[in-house]
Amino acid sequence: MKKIEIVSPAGNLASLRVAVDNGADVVYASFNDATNARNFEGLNFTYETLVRGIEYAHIKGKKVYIAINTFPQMDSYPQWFSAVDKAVDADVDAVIIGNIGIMKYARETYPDINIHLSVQASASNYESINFYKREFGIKRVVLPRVLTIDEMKMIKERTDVEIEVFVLGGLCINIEGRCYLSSFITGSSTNTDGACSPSRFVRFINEGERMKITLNDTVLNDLGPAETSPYPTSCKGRYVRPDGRKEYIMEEPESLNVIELIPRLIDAGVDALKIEGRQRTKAYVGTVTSVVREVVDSYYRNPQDFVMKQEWLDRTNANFEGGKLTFGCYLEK
Amino acid sequence: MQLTLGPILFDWKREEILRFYDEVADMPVDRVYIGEVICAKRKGLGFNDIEAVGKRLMDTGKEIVVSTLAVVTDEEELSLVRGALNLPFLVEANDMSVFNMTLNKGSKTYANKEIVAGPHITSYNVPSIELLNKYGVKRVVFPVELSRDSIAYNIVNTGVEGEVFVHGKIPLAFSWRCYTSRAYDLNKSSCRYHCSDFPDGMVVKTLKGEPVFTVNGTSVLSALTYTLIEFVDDLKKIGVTALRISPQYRGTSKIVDTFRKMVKGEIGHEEGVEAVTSDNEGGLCNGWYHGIAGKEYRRATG
Repeated sequence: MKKIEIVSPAGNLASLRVAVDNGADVVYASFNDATNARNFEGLNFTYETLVRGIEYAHIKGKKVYIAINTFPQMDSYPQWFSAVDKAVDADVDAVIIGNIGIMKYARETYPDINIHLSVQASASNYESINFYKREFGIKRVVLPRVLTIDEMKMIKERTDVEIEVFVLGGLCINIEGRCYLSSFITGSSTNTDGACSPSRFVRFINEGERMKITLNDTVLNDLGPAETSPYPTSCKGRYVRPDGRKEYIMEEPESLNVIELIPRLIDAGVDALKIEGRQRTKAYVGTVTSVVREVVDSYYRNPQDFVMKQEWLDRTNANFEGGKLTFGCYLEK
Repeated sequence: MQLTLGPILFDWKREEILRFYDEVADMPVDRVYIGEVICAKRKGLGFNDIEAVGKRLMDTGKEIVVSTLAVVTDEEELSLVRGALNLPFLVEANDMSVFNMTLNKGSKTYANKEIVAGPHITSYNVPSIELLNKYGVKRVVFPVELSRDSIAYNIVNTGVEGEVFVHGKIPLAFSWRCYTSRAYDLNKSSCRYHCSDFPDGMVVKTLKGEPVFTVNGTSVLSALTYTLIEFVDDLKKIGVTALRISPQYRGTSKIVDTFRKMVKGEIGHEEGVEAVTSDNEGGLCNGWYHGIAGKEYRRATG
C-alpha cells in the first residue's frame, strides 16, 4: 500500500527547506505574481529561488509542486502560460492548475508533465473529476473543503485520480473558486488577483477598549477586550441578523485541524494530506509538518494500537494563537 | 437583445413557483431558466413540474433552459444533474460534472445537447471559452465579477453568445454549510426548511447597520440589488446578446417591463432607475461592471 503523501506549504526558500527537513514528502509553492491564489506582498518564489528550492528538495528525495491556480482575464493569459513554462523548466514534479484554458496549454505543450487539479477548480464529485481526467489527464485532484470523509471515500471509489485533502490551516467555508465575497467588498478577488481580503483594505480601529475591523470601509467586526480575531475576511465577520442578534453568520473565527482524523482519511483512501499556509512563517511550517509526519508514521507503524497524543494537538494548536479549531464538514454537514 | 429570466434562487413553495411561471407566460422575456441551483433539499418543483411548466412556456414562444445545481457533492445531487439533462430542454451547466455526462463517448443520450455555461462556471477568459465551445457551449453567462472590458474582450475574441446578469441580488458564494439553518442553531443535516420563511433571503447588516449580505440556505447573495438598468445600450454596444434578470418574490414583472422598455429605447435612464428602485429595500450596486468593488454603485455619465 502506497503511503499517504504529506504536502507542505512554502512561501519562500527558508520555509521550503524547513518543510523538507521536517518530513514533508512534497512542498508546494508558487511564483510571486497573480498566477497563484496566495499573491501576497513579499511572498513566493522567483524562477531563480524556485530552481534552488527544487534542487534542495530533489537532493533529499522530495518533490515540489507549483500552484498556477488563478483565472486570467483579457490578454493576460500568456503570463500564466509562461508560469507553466518556467515551472516545467525548473523541473517541478507537478503543476497545480485551476483554469481549463491554462490546463489545455499545459497538457498540449508538455504531454508528460503531472497536472493536478487545484482546489480553485472546485471539483467536488467524481463526474467533474473524471471530466478533467479525460480531457487533461490530471493525475490528482485537490478536493474542496465541502466534503465529508464518507463522500471523499465514495469519490475515491469512482475515479482513479488521486485525491488530496486539506488537513490543517485556514478554512474556506465557501467553496473555493466560486467565492466572490472579497471581490464584492474590495474589488480584489482570489480568482482574479490571487488574494482574498488584501491587507491594503483592512483597517483595525481602536475605540477605547474595543477594536473595530473594517474591509474597504465595510465593518466586519467589533471586538471586545477579551476577543481575538484571525486575519479578517468577509466570511469570518460578525453581522446583524433580522432578529437583532450579532453573530458570525457564516463562520466563527476558526481554523481547520483534522489531524485527529488522519487515520480515517488514510483508511478512506486519501492519497495526500495538504497543509494550508504558504503565507505562514517557517516556524509554523516546520512545526505542523513534523506533527503531521509523526501522526502519519505512527498510524502506519501500528494502525490497531494508534492513539492520538495530546502533545501533537498541543503543538499544532499553539500555532493557531488560541483561535478556535474545527473539523469543518469532515464528519458531518 | 434577448431578455432572460434566471432560475429562482430562493426557496418558494411549489404553488408559488407555479403561480409565478403562470405570470411569466405573459412577461416579455425570450428565455426562461428553470430549476434548483442552490440546494437539493428544497422541495420546489420536481422534474415533472419543470417539464410541464417548460412546455407551457415554450408554447408562448419562449426558450426553456434547465439550470443545474452549483455545488454537487453526492449521488443524490448527481442524480439531479442527470435528471436535468434528461429533460427535453437546453441545459445550463453550473458545475463541470455536466460536461462529463454530455461528453461521455459511451453514451449517446445527451449527444448534441446544447449547453449554456452558467454563471458558476469559470468562463473568465478566451482559452476557457474556446474550450467550452468545443464541449457544446454556444452561450456563456459570464462570472458575475467580470468587468465591462473583460466581457467585451471575451465576446470580441471568441464570438460566443454572451449573457450578463443585469438585475437582482447577486450570488456571491456557496458553502457546504446551510447558513439559514445555522441562524436557527441547526445544520444542513437537521434542516427544517427555514429558507421558505425568507422568499427573498435573509438580509444581514453590518454592525454599522448597513445591509450587506443575503443569507439563502447554503448560499450568500448581496443584500443590495445589482442593476445595469442604465447600461443596456452599453451592453449592446459591447456585443452582449442577452440580459438576465433574477426573479424576486414580488415585482419581477415590473423589472422585466422596465428592461424591455429600455431595450426598445422607450424610456430614459431616469425613468428606468426610478422604476427599478421604487420597490427596492436595500439599495443598488453595480461596481463589478465598472471594474471596481461589486458593492459600489455608479450611475451612467452623460
